[in-house]
Amino acid sequence: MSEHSFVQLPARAGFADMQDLIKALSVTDVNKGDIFVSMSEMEFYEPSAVCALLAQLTRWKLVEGRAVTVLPERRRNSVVGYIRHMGFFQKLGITDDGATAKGATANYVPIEEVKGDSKVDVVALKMVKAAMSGRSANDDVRQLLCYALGELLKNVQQHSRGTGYVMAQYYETGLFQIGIADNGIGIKESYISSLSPKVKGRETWSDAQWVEEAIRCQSSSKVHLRSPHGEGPVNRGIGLTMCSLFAKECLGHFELISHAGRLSHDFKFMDKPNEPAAVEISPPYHGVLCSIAFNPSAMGQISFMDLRRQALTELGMLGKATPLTGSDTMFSS
Amino acid sequence: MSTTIQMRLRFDSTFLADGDVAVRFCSQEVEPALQRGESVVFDFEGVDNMTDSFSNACFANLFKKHRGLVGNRIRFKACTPLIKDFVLSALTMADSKDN
Repeated sequence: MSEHSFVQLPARAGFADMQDLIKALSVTDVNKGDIFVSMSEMEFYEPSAVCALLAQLTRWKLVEGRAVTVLPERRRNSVVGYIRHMGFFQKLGITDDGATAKGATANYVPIEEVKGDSKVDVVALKMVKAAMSGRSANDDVRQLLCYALGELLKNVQQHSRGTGYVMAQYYETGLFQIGIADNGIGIKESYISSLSPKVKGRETWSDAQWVEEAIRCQSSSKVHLRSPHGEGPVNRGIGLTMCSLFAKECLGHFELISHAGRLSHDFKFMDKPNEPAAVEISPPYHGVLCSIAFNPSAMGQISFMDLRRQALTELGMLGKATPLTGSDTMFSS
Repeated sequence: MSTTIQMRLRFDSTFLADGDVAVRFCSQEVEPALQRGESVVFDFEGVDNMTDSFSNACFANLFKKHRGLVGNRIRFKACTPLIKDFVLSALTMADSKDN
């Protein structure tokens, strides 16, 4: 008979201490029986942690067919209340005796499930509108956030083959944070299963090496796949790279975890950019998790267009187009 | 003959973000129009943002295949400066020898 698993969720799960959550979740890798989850210690969970927790609970229930019980709380817990309002338990199909999920308000932006047929633009616009409700922000900030959400959502749709969740939060500190996590095949397997030519000669690469590869410009696992009219790739692998550069330019952070690979960049201090290489983590996270934070005030008076131009310049991709015949007549008002 | 595609109405959004949808749009609507010898005008009235995934999937491949048509049979209308930038960087991407 299989042993049951008891998952005691840690107090904190954020950019600096995500590993504690991953370790707590890995208890279920050893014992394959029913799962009991205690949320009693939860104090602070950033959006990517909430999404990662939800993705793993979904994996246990729907993929592994295991019974999952969230233990009732004996005391008032603000984090549990917070995720309840985000629709966390509804997404799991768990009935609890707390309040039902609220609609989007200034404080609560519901978690969205990323499905194959999700309309990326609709989800992104909805989340940004809800997160920015009651906040003063210009169109450039909204455009930046929509862009990041759009690219991240599409990545899950194109690569994951699992269930993904996305959440956004605007904190009082002025930091806007996007968390997205899935329980899918991971970055390395995406390259392998897509029959990417990049795999040849790299069969022994670690998850950390594949995480670094994924963040490189024009290095998606799908760039070798041709469009139906045959003239180019269906995916040119630039979105995730751009998102990480925007996080850098907006003094935020960028974290990408895929199974045993973790890349973590903290850009808070402009004079000391922290861009270490990806590292191996143990235990692994079963899927992909991405956390991006922006400090919109760091944009200052810079428009989203200029921010994007800066990123393209850093990638060496700005203004290198060969003049085409008639290109001066491309645009009209 | 000229076909004008109202992008805001065609995609029912002010934000164009889905590269897969862009690929289907190009192969099922834009390519056939060009094959028939028509001009295609992309009218961006009401669209204020997109992703690089969309612009590259839609326009980089189109530019690569039909470079000689850009500016005469492939044109863009009512682009904001941001949208114009996205289109131009798709042009850069099409020109890249890696693509």
